[in-house]
Amino acid sequence: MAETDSLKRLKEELGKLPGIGERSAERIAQHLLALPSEEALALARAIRDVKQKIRACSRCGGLAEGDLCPVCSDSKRDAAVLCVVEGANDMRSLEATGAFRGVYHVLGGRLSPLEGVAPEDLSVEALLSRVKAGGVREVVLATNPTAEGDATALFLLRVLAPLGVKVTRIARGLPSGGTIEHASPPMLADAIEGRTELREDGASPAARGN
Amino acid sequence: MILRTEGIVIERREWSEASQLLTLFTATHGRLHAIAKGARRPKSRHGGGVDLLDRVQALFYPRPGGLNLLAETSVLPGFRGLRARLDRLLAGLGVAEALRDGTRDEEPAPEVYALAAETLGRLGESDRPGVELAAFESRFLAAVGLAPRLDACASCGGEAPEGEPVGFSADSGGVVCRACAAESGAALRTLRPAARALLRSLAAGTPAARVRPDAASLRQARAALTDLLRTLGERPSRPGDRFARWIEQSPARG
Ligand SMILES: [Zn+2]
Ligand SMILES: [Zn+2]
Repeated sequence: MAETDSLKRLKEELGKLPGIGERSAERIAQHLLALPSEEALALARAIRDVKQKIRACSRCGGLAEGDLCPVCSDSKRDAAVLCVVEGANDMRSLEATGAFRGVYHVLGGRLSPLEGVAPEDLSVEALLSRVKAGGVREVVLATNPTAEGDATALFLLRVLAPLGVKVTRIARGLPSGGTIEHASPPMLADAIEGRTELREDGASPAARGN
Repeated sequence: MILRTEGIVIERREWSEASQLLTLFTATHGRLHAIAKGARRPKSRHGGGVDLLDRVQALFYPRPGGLNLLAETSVLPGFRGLRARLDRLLAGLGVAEALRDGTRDEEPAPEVYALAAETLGRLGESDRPGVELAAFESRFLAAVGLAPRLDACASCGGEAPEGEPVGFSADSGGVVCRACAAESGAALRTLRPAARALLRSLAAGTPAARVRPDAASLRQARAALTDLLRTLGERPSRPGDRFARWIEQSPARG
């Protein structure tokens, strides 16, 4: 009964995917079983390629298939405007709005004293190096509008300010405590277009819910 | 049965698609873990999700021995100004960390709740969040029975001379005399007299606004308090206060 075992294993693996319950896993497994080998294996190969070929862009830390991600390798993007995001997912969400023409820097997380994530755990040094290298006019802080995202933005403001670069923060229209990944594209487009300059005088970013 | 309580969000984790696993420190039930299903959907009964350091009104179904289920949460007027400055925000998160690591599940501690809520309220206006956090930590340690011994050696009860630097051991629970320090062998923290005096006045309940420590004494006092907090609770891996310098250094402006 080897086949039953592998079918069972397939259903278990499918069932681990987000949004796939037991019945969907059953249906997809049966579908794959009925497909010609070549078609079914194309899925397996696509999964393998994603895991083997995709890595971090050597410039911004976004998802890349070669050395550079599609944004960094696009000469039409404005490299003078640098948008800082927590993760590659946020970069993808902002790209989906089509509202931003600059380039990105992926931090790889957010400051979190509660989870022990300190500045040295994020790609802060790489960000500072990019700004120090020159050619950057504005840094847009697009960390999530959460307590930890705000802390990260305020921290970055403090280390970027001495470099003389303009620092902005995405607008506060996003639901408080929400995340960039879950915001709708129009809302995100508004947030990035309505960004405001951030200064360390306690006036911004606006405190929420008060 | 459904219960209503007020609490402060001290931990928040994403849980499946749109749900959040929250740890609240509540006025009536102490530390409380609960799941808010579908919290991140904008029209949920949790208003699109709640954040760390939010003060919330919560309705929940208790599940003894399991995860409590949040039926509804609404964000109450918060701690104004807390998120406007890095040092305030980090100090606020320090309060959450102490509550998370140093309290027990569903063990009511209304005085600790009041202390935390007052501290977060004051932090929102504070120009010296590091002192405010030290005052909180000192009172919090006293509330959980871990106030440090400062008058005599915490290890042997002998004299720990005043007016000169003295060793401090969180494991012993306070300052230690020279003999005990030598015996312990380990490299102990040292408290200068002004840092010891600061710990004393905070322990005596002097409000943060009335103490004016120099930066080095504040740093030593907070390090001692952090050591004591680290001996608490289930998370000995408490990452330590790697944020101390960001909390204690006075802001460049403002
Ligand atoms: Zn890139
Ligand atoms: Zn002794």
